[in-house]
Amino acid sequence: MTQTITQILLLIISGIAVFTMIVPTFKTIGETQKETDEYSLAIESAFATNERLNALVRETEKLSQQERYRIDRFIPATVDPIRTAYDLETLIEKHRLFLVGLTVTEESVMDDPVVTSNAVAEDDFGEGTQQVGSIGYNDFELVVAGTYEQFKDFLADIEASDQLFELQSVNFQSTDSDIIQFNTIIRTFGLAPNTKSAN
Amino acid sequence: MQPNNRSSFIPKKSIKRVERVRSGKRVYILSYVAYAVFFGTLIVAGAVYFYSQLLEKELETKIGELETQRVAFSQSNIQKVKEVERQLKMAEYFFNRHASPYAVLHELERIAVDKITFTTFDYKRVDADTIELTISGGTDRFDGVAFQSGLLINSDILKSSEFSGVSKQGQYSIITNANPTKSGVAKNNTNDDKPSSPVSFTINKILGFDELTFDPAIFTGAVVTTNPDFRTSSSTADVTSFTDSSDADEFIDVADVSANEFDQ
Repeated sequence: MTQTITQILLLIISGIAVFTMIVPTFKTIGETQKETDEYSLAIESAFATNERLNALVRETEKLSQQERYRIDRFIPATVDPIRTAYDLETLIEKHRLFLVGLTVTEESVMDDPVVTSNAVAEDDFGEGTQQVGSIGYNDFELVVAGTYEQFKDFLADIEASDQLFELQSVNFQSTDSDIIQFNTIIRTFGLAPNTKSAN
Repeated sequence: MQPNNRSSFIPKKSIKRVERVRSGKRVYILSYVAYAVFFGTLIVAGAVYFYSQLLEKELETKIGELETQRVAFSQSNIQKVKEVERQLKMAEYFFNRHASPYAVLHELERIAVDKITFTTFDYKRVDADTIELTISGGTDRFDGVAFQSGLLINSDILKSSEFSGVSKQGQYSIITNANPTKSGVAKNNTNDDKPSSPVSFTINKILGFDELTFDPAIFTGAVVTTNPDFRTSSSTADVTSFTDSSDADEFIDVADVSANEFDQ
């Protein structure tokens, strides 16, 4: 009789152990296993990302100082209207054109035309919200007078300049003399709006 | 004297014994099963427990490894790469859209018919992708316009231009008078020294920025840097070298340097 009771008790204890310990632990093991796999993937990805980032950093460092300077000249961090106006004036003088007028308009801001990874990457890193970048630009309304050949040479220099000068408009009409008045609007861009003018 | 009630050495209830043995065997099997189940449960519970502990430790190790990778992820490096990437992409974007009015003038000179006089030139960048071009001119006869129109077809930049406002100012005018003898056709007064352009026309053309690309080959001897502080003998080819797409492409996919995993 005692033996029978013992056997039944053992079976009951076993049943309780199965349902209260083994089965829940199995579930926990499943979850932990899943989590571990996710972490393994994340580590793999993070490692690859780090490797990639390091490769990009190395690539960035490959750019020589002179190359960096040229890039900075082509698209500077911000537009310096005074210096740009001075550059234009120098070019006008170089080509013996007559400066009739040069007006620098207020800096304007436009949406970043290039869909940069900036905002997306920030978001990916969980460090900020997704934002569209913006760039600043200035228009230089330039009126010069001179011969067609002089103006053409001036135009060539403008277009081939280290700094990006984008001609927004050029118009002129022939006159009875060789001297023609040329009206142009030249735009320059900066990577970021100038904080001085933005404020 | 023989004892009367001495029991026999031969067991009298052998059958009963056999029954006892049968009963004992049944109890043994059940007991065996019960113990087996019990100890089996204990072993499985123990194994499951240790395995879960092992997995927990593995998970902790993975978290630690991920943290190490996260620490190794230098924010300053990311910033540095992102800035260069943006600058290169921006340079590439603007360089590829760098339209050249000089190229229009160059082309116009190339295809201009001798007898044609171009009087006005209007180049306007309507938006980042579109350029509006209006050129007016004149000549003395329509055949000049026709010839010019034919040459435009062969031009890379000005082909399919639209001619508008084509008109001719006649050299004669009609004189009407009450006196019929004084009515008639008279030649307009023209200055013979100065050639007139009685046929006028306008060329209109909407260009995409890609039709008017900056061609460094055209610009020979252009001074690139105008600021005296930075006067160099750099050429336009240097400018293009930075906007070479292969350079920029290296950085284009920094967005893919995603670390979503860190947020998990």
